[in-house]
Amino acid sequence: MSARLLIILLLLLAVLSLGFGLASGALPLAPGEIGRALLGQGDATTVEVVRQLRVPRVLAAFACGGLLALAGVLLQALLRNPLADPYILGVSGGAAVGALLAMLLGAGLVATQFSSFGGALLAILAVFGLGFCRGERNIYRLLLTGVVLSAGCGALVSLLLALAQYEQVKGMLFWLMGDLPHPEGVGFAWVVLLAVGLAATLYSSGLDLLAGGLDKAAVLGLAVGRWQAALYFAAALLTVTALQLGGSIGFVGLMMPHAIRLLGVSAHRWLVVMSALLGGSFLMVADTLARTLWSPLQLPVGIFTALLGVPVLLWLLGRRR
Amino acid sequence: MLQAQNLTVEIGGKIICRDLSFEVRSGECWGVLGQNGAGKTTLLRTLAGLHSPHSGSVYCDGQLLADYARRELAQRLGVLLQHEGGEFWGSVRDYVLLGRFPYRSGLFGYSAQDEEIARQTLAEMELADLAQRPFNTLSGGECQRVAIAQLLAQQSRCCLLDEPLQHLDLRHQAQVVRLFMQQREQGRALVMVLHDMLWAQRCCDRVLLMFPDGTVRHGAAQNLLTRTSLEALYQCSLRELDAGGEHYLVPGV
Repeated sequence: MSARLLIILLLLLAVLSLGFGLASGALPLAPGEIGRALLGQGDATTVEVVRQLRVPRVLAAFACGGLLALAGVLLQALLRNPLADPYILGVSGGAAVGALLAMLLGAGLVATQFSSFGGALLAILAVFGLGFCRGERNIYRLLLTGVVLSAGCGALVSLLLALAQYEQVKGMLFWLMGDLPHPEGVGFAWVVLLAVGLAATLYSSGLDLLAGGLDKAAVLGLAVGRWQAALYFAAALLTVTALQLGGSIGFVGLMMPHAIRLLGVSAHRWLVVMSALLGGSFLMVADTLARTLWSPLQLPVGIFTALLGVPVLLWLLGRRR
Repeated sequence: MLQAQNLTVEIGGKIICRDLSFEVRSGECWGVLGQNGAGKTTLLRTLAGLHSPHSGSVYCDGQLLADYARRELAQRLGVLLQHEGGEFWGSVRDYVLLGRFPYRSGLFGYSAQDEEIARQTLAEMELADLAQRPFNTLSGGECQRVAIAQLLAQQSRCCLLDEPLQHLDLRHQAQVVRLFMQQREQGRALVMVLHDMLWAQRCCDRVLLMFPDGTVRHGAAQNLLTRTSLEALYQCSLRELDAGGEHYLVPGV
């Protein structure tokens, strides 16, 4: 499949997922009703549901999916490891400890978000400081530091869950499984997604070079150390922004770049945009299913990202010989 | 063009050369010869600025390697690595185009001139048919030819080549050597790590021999590529053959 055709199909998929997200819910809506409601016309309830609830939610879901997929692309290039995902460097572990600690102390939504942001920031700086800033930039030390820190954070999360009151545990589990009920900060998330996505596309040949080996990149004129640091912090920014929006949503960052590669596209100038589009569309569909399938019960979207993604990826792996 | 000054290089606690000084001039072809593990690759990596010397300095066009920005150095010094240690996921054309990375000026990809140079290089290397193939589906020999095409597209004035003929069949060895000799005639300087005495004798003006005891000798090829020095270098007996008016050394098996 040619890259141009694939990007058209992905844009179409994004539009269809957007329509699916806007139309589905406790109040099912036809496309015409959605269009009128977006323009502020028609029934007041419908206008409110569309403009106040569904539009922010689908925009948050798309941004979150795009951020995670893009973080996956950058980290897989930085670590030259196809198993790298946005959480591999301990960012989500730090954010989870921060968020759960705030919840345990009875903090509100804003304080919880600040606390999770603080936890993520500490993890980012600790991994970079311990793994990267000792003269030689050893990617394996960075990776191992992230994995070790994640394991430590995992233990702390278990401790916090054990210490929590029964009624606090559900909220904590939803945060850990990924959920998009309070899409605050959507505007900032879109700014981060567009800015990092644009920069990564413009500098995509540098990403190709890094993935091709550090010595090769250096002899072809890439300032490898600076690029590694820039990629690390860009991926961390994307991950933290996604975590603030939807908690710890798994699978998207690891698998979306692979899905695009399995469709035959590998050069980063396409991979960046396509992964973001696919990740965004995928999370919009998963989130819509999470909030509608057992309505009025809303399930954590993280469950659906895995339930939907695993069979699709296994099918793609099976057809690629 | 490329100058090593009092270079002492160490790897894994082993000194591979001590106080080595030499200069590679424009239009010269140097061969680096020695047994496996003698330190040829490490010396080449030191000359490329990828390995820090224990002491001494390397200069390119009169300026310390460390004083160059990486991009500027890549415009002057091209390197063909023995192992690239990564995985490239794009097409053969994309891979060759990366050779133009040091010249990228704008943010919006490669210029039409870069694309044309990559296309011409692929044609010169008889790789035009493979241009759209994914790089990671190529055979070892094809990968080597594509890596050489990338180096040629880089158009640097000095090339460090670590086993440029590895994986290549006889036809493509001859093709690659012919292209490198054309480069030399255009004034480029070449430093090649070679194992094949035939090519060393035919191509190199000067050679640098890395002996098992850690001593390094360099000088004119006709003076150093003798049976006595090569037997000491490889610690094996050699036979002399005369064919077509030329004199060759082959292993005495």
